[in-house]
Amino acid sequence: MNSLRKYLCLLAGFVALMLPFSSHAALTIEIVGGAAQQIPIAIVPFAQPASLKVAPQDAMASVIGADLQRSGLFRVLETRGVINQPTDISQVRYADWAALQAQALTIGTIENLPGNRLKVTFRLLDVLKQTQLAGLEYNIAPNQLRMTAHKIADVIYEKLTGEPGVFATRITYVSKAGKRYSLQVADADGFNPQTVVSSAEPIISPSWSPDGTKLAYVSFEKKKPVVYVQSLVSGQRYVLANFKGNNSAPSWSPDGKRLAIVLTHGANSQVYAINADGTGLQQLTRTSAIDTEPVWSPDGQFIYFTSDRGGSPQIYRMTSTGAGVQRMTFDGSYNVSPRISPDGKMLSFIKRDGDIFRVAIQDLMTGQVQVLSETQNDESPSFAPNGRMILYATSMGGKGTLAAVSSDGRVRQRLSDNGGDVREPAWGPRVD
Amino acid sequence: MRRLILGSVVLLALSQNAHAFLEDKEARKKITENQTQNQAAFNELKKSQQALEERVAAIEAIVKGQGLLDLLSQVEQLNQELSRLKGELEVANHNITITQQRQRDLYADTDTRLRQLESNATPAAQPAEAATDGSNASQEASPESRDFEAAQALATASRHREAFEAFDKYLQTYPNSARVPEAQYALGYAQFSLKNYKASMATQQKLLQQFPDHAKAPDAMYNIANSQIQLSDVEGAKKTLRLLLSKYPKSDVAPTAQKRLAVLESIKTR
Amino acid sequence: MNKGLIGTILLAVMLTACSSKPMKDAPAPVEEKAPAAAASAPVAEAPAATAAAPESELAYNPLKDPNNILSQRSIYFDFDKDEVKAEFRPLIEAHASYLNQNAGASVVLQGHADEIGTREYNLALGQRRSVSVKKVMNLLGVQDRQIETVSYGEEKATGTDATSRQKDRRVDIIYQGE
Repeated sequence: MNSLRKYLCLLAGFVALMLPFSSHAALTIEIVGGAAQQIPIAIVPFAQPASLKVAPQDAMASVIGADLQRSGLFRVLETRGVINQPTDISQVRYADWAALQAQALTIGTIENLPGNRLKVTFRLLDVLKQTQLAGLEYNIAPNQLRMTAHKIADVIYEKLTGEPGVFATRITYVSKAGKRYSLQVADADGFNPQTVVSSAEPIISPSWSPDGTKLAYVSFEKKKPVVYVQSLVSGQRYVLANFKGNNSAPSWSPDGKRLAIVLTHGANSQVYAINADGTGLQQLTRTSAIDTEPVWSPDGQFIYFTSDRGGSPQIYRMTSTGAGVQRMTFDGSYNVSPRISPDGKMLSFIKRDGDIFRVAIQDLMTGQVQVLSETQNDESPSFAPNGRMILYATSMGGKGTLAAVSSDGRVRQRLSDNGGDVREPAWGPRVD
Repeated sequence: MRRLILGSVVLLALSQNAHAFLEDKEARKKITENQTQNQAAFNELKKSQQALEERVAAIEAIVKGQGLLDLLSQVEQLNQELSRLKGELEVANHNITITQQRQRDLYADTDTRLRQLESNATPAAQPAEAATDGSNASQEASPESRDFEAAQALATASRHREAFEAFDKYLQTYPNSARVPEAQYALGYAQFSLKNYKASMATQQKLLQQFPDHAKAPDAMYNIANSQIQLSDVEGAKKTLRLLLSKYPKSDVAPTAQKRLAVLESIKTR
Repeated sequence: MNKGLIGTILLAVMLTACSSKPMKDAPAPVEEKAPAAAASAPVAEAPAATAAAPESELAYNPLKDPNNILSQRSIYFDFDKDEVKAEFRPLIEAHASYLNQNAGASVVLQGHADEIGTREYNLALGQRRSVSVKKVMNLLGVQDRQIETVSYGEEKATGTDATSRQKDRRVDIIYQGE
């Protein structure tokens, strides 16, 4: 327990370093649909010292509740009608919560610690069995309250669904306001947006390093596409690839040592691999056709990519050394932007039907294809680190916006930006 | 000494003068020669320049005449056509693979169902006989035969995994039972139904080695051939079926084996 | 971070400077009669410039002369196509012969696509169009070192319907130093 607490402190400190505190949300998330069976959960407002000033939307219980609700797998119950509001396990009267038909109950406290620190304690209780499912303590700085709430939501999610949660993760996307483009990183719920880099020229194709500390992206600031790698810790960046012609579509290998990129020199787009420090360039495809959008499989064995070598853009895969090319999609005349689920079993991509571009998913074992989204101009799918949701870009009313759909197609979310156009999303990894 | 030097200098000068006089004539001659040569070379040059100009003009005509550009666009069109055909080939190959897979699954399914019908036919007849023999027969059944019947029932119900376990246990519990060959065959058949073709073949092979004359031996051999078919070893399957027909020409399974062999032989192997 | 910001501001300033150049403003390629009024001033200058051509090479820039085919810089393509249409051959030939005569000059062929489809794939499509133009120039004797092919994909696309998207599907010829 002690070592766990130490670990959590360390982790919290690390996250704080990267994320200056602000509770401003750039994206508001609207949930459309939900799972057939939602878990009813009651979250009692945490007891907190009077000195702690927290806006209502930042209160522990609200953040946790919003996270769980957004997943589509939970029904967060209204607790205000319950007279007894326990903050300690000794105060819990299970009958009250059973009457509300709650299956699980979350209680907790925030206490002041010396040195302007806070102690957050929470317990997750099973109402029917009247037992504790989880109990944790966090020693944090005041600006880590939201992130701590996300971590608690992750614990609850994992205990009750059996899958790891992804609330304490981050996403990146490109926002266009007026004529300026900026690469943003925000919490998975759209709060705390931070500008990584901004430019008067387009920025596209951001890609997270597997450890979540760096982003590779394509910027046109040199009047042509050039691939940069930027540290999210120091803000420093370097040019990864600026060869003659285009440099685009970066994608990290699972060990973070290499990136697949697309170069053209004087001909059509071809897939290359390059070390993260810009050395060791190796050409992987050699065709006169277009070969682009490479992504590594999670085991590092294959690279999936888009190619029109067969007359129409389709998804292919090859070994990470460029051998054994195999076509993966056969349904339709336009299948692009491959992404592989974290367990390596599913392929998500953009499929065109007539004039409509939608997010589809294919079972790599059976070849079964399912169209997931109900929007129209979908682009850039990106799996959540637990594989449950797919974040993607779409457009509504002529404006770029983000949306998400669960990989079974049941839960749909729309993330609308309060300001300009948003596009090119990528879901970051879990960093614990 | 001095004189000598002076004299020689004068001599030298004289001789040079004379030489120069002689050379002048020579030179004139050479110059005229050169001139004619130059003229010839010049003409040659002019000619070759003319030729070059003509060739350049021809090349220009080719370039300006759009010949190369047309060729380029033709090459591009051919490339496109080639990719399209390549794509169609990819799709066709994919469809063949899918069809083969489906056919294999369908075959396995049909075969399993037929086998069930076949094995149902015999047990159905047995209880009828047992009933005429006397109703206490089943009550007096030993634990050994009860276990066998239970395992057999699982197999009949297509609960192959449980049937496999039951027969496996049976063989371990009653290694000296008279029904070992039957159990052995049923075990192999369960493995076949679980798509464990290689294991199934090993089991049936063991049966053939230990009880080559048992009534189940031809069935075991037939089962091996089917496993080979599942594993796409058509040649092996043919060999096994031929062996079956030569060794057990009078067995119940022989006619079926004969038919299957005929089907396999109609397939052209690559 | 700060450096980056200053860099991007500088870039922005440079960009706005660029956008005032005529080449960016010229919308359609074959539009010789429309800018008649605007053309009157350059026409008056043009004969003087050609007369003085040998001495003042610098003063007359054929690339900027609206009456010269070299001022036309865009090659347009059909939907989903990268084939150079016959009507654009004279334009490419003119640029090719300019490049052949001026070994020091070089161009960037900037490919573009309309907004339909995904960004990275459109980047590849734009690239393929610029490669098509490059191949024609190569056949006309232009050296590889004088040509760089790049693509903006759909990033500069402005069209929102079938008609306005036509001009998004193009390759722009941009001379080094412009």
